Amino acid sequence: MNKFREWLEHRTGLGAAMHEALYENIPGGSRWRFVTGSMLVYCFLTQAITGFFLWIAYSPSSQTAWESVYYIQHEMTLGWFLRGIHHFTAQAMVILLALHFFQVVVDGAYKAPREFNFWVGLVLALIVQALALTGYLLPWDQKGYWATKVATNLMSLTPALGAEVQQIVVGGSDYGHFTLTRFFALHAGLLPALLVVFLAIHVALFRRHGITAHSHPRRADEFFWPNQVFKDALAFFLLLTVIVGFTIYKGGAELTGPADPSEQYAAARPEWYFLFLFQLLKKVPEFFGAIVLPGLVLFYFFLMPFIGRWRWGHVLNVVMLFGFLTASVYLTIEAYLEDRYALNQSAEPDPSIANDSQALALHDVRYQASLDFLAGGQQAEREYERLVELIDHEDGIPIGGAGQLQRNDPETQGPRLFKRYCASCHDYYDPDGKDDMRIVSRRRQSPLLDTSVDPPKVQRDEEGNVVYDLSPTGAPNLYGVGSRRWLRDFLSAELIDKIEYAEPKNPQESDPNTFAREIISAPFFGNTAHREGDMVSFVHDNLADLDDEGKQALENLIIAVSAQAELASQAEDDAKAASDGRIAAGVEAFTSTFACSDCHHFPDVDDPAAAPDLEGWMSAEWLRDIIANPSHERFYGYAEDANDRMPAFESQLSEHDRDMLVRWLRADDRELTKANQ
Amino acid sequence: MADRNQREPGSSEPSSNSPPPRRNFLVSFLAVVFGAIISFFPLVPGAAVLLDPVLRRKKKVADGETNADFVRITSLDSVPKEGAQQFPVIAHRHDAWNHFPNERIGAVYLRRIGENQENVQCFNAVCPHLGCIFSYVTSRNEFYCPCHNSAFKIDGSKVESSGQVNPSPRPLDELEVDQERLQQGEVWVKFQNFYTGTEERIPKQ
Repeated sequence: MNKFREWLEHRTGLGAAMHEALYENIPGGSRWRFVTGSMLVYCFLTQAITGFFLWIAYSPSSQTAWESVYYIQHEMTLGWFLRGIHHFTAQAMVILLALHFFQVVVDGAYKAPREFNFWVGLVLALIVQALALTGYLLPWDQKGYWATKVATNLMSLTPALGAEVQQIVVGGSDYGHFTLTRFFALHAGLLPALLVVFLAIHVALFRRHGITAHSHPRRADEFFWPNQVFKDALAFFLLLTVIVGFTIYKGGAELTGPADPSEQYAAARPEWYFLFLFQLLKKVPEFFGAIVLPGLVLFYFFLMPFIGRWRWGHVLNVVMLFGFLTASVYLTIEAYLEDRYALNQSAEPDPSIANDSQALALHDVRYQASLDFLAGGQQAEREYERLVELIDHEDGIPIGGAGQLQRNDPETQGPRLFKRYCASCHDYYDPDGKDDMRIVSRRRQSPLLDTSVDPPKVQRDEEGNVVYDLSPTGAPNLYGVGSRRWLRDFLSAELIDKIEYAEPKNPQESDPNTFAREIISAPFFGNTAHREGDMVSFVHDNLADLDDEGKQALENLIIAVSAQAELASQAEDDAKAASDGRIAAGVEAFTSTFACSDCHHFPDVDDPAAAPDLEGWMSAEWLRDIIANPSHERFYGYAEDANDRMPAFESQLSEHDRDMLVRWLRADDRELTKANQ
Repeated sequence: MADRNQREPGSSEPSSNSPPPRRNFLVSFLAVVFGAIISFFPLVPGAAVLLDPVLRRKKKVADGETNADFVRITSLDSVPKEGAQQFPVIAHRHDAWNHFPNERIGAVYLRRIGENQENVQCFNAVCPHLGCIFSYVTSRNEFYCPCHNSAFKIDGSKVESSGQVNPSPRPLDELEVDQERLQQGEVWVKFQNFYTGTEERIPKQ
């Protein structure tokens, strides 16, 4: 054995190298505060190992990146755990980097003769940041896609060669396969290699100059081994337990839906360690905020060793660094709180700012922006859960990628299309509040102005009440459309033309805008031109005070008309009603008891149409057609002005989109086992 | 090297005021233990992901799932009366995250057998030697693999007398044909791949 050791030592010098490595002298002995450097090295090793194993399962292209990460996350043995460790170690690395840097500056370890090593350290820090930035995009999910897009768009601001720089990095004028192959080559190839090279230089220079600390009369010098090695190892072990804790608590790293260039992602944010830059860009012009200012800060960092030579230079450096860190932390917290403004504030502004119209407007903007952010996050979560369901249901992802599943899924596309095309008038919310899908727009009524005076004042009637502009701005709530419940509510005198307002808070005579009042509820015709129409008066005159027999007839009618919708969720009830004869009774009520057929057409009832055709009412085909052209004679074409503001979507929405929208409204595909196949 | 401490690195002499050896041993021991834990830790989930294909296959076998399903190849009319012909196998295929509804997953040779040629024999078109696709040579009425000269008679058995070495360890892999459907004029085959290079036929899971 000893012979072998001798032989090995003679050929390799391994023992001497180990000795050299372990018996580095530490003036003043081992310390807990010296652990940050070793921990960073260990972070990098962990990243290299976990990264390699992620690499064996990752496929960089726009049709496979998200899909392979999905597979790692949901299918591969401990894949979620591996990804989580990689993700959270990256975050730990950024924190350690800041600590290490802070410590080096405070201890004056950047001063002669260690200037070079300080600069190498700065380069290492930049490489780590580049690794973080490139890694964020690789899963090709909505979050990484939009956050990184902002970063690469900033590259186009580079003086002179902006567009070219961006195209080289992105691999074309827009994001695609080459963006991923390039980012991946950087993230797993060039950047780690550079990091190894600079790390080697960093450690070599560190060894050359030794530890900055000085021997201490009360603390003995120690070698690196074993006390400092023990401290380093234990510190990293503790960090690892925190990383594992986060990984288990969060179920691994987050993955949002697959990147979609046509779909806004309101919750797009960079990773938290870039949030301060993100927040800065809200305040200053992007060229200054993204290039000039960070450039100046970095330049200052590079100058630190020279500045440190002046008498007060070291103090200045520490103060500057402290200022930089404080500002970064401040901006990070501000960005975080701004996004969560709506969680901490109510929609009603604080009474203390009631008289400050500027503060009120700011409150409004912030509240709305925060709501959008939170709703964007919720939507992304909902869509992701749905996608997981879809993939399970399809037993895999089609070759076109997960986006293809989403594009053909009504439950995903429906809400998106509704928000874009319908929500300016229609709402979608469960009146019982059980379903958390809620698409409701704020609508306001403004006061009419008396422009005969200057400045204009609000108009008042003889009793002194403010006169409002009552022109309709809404349309019915389409939640559960076609169901018995929806029709029952529609045919009730309380609801059909209900409109409810929130009275303006603290209106100021000097500012007519403060008199605007919010419409808080108008579930059916209350905020439409139909509130003056025949249907509303019919409901008030004929359906408000029914005796028991009349109520029974009305219920039968509701069942019969609702059966026209042929909703999947009501199929059993409809079949039962047909066999019970309740549908026949309902048709009877339709034609004779309530004489609906005087105006409406219904199957087997031949009558002139003076109102929308109710044959196939709210069926998929009926809905697709009314969305295509509501002014068609089958719907509101019976009279010139019968259609109230609803545009014909034939030219705006493709047949596929109309189909998605309709199937979502009818909830045809909500249960995947029932439909779709 | 001005501020380098006086003591030479590389000298293993403990300094006069270093801690007593007993504690030194404990700390060394703990340093090794924690060092080992933190060094090997990332290999654990890494190994799990690396070994995922094996773990997954074991699970599938344990669940009693096999890849062998009857797949429609063609109609009986399309199988030639003389010799043999290659047909693609089109079926659902899983490849990691992807699902392909109608993909070519392999190929088979079909030939007619029986007195009235109403029956069909089917071979997997993969050579049992090392997995190339072999071809049918009309002039010799034989199967011949272009990679390493494996040769098989029309009934799938090895040709031993061609003067060349026949490296195939076993005859062609015959696949089961669904007799019931064959009577209705449709050729359905229990499609399976086998490990190559072994004497015994071992199905791939």
